[in-house]
Amino acid sequence: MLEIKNLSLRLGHRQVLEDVSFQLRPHRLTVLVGRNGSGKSTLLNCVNQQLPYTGIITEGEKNLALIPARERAKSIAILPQTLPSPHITVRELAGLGRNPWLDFTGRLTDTDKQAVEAALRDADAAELAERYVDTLSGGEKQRVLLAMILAQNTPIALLDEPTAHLDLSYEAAFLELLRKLKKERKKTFLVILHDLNLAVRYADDLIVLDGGKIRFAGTKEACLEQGVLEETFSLRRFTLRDGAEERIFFTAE
Amino acid sequence: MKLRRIYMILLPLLMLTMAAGLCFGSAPLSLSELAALKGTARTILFGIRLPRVLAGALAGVGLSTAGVLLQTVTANDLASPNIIGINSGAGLAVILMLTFAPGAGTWLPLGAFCGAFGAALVILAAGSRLGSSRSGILLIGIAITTLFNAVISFLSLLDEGILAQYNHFTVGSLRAIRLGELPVPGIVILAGFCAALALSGRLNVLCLGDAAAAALGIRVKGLRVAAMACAAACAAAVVSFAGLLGFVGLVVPHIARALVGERPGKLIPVSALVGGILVILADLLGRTLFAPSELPVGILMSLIGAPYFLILLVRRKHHAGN
Repeated sequence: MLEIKNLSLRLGHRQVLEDVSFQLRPHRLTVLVGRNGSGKSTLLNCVNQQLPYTGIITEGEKNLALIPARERAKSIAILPQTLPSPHITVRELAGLGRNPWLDFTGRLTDTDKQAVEAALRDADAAELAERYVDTLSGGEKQRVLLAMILAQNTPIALLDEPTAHLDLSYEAAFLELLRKLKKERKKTFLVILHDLNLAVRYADDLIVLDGGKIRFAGTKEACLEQGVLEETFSLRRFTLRDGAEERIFFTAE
Repeated sequence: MKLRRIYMILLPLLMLTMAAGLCFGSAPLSLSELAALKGTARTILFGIRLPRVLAGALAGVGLSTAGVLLQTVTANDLASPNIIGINSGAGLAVILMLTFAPGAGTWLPLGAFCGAFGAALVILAAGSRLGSSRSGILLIGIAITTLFNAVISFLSLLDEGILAQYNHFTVGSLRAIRLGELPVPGIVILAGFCAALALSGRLNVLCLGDAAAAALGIRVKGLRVAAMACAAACAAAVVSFAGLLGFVGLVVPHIARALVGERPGKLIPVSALVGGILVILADLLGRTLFAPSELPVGILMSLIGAPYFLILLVRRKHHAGN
């Protein structure tokens, strides 16, 4: 279980994160939301040990700041917001996800190759395996990047705006895929999303960051009951009934 | 093209080029004369051609390996030993020795090696203070190159004799190399090449950027420093016996990339083979085209390399456009 305790970060004169604490509940899809500049990506960079924070980030009993990068990468996969598109095949890219598990020769064993093929299948990217990454569409690229972090075979995966710049249908399909992997592969996901409508539709738990501080961390139902999103983002909430299903939408006031 | 097929073409081509380098020159020698190892043929073989061929192979391997490493860790296709300050460091050391210790001619190779490696250490130290980012290292290298070149220009203006000797060094040549000069730089280059191969698995991950590489368990800063140190050792070792062969480290990785793609694990050995072939071939052409006069290998490499590099850039732009 990933736990963040009293995390603070100051960059220059700006307090980017202040006393942030929360736990990720296992086998749940947690969505992290917040306004632009609220510190969402910075929080992921802290987990990735790329920024000098104060506070403690633990996974199980391990303090992430005190364990080697390879050990950390065996527990937590992180997909940054923007990644280049190298001229390598999709299978080679998915193979990079095995890096923490490789020996000093860096060669993929049969077990690694099987993990790569399984990850490609799980991410619905098996048919793209021989394509070059720099020839893929936005939706295809997100699926193969997901295959890469699935090949990493970690219990926890953190994704920074994986659906940014995707069409609505691709966004929904991608989040549906995460939901399926959470159930079938017992994964724990923390996903940063901008779209609150998608967030409340797919999240089990919600974390709301506001000005670098935690405004809310808990179940989606509790968040909606307390009206945290409307208050934080200055939005109005609508509920639409589609047969037996109830859908929640937010619009600007 | 499959990697095995590429090796099956490049390895015999390297052997063929080496054989041609031993046979041809201002006085052609047949294979039977070479095999007999007698009289003048023996002198030409061991005194002139074998050192040149081995030096060409080592220079090609060293500079190509350095080029691949530098282009990978800076994520910049234009990075090469001469752009990030390693060559300028060697040049500065040589001109300082020519100016202040004119009698120390035999120590010039060692001075060049120390200058090149020292410049790399300065870049690494400055990069470490500034975070060793990709563009940071490149910009520091360019700043140091500019500074060193300014000092070189100033010192070369003081004495025409020094300027002439310095120009000979900067052109890059395999002329007058003796076998005895090669073991030490040879060991450094081969060690650098092996270390680069050992690092290549982790370098593969750098193509995704620093944040993703860190998330995949790479100690990015440490890897970048290790790769830079390997590149500096390889390039400095070449500078010590061949002078400033500018274009090899830049153009050869691009030729290899067109053959095997971007993964350093494939790129490093293929670049080494292509580099060895190209330098031996350029040296062979340089000493046979206008025999008995010679065109230094550095000039010929630039004459061949620059147009080919332009063709590659045009083809890549065309490919990207499609």
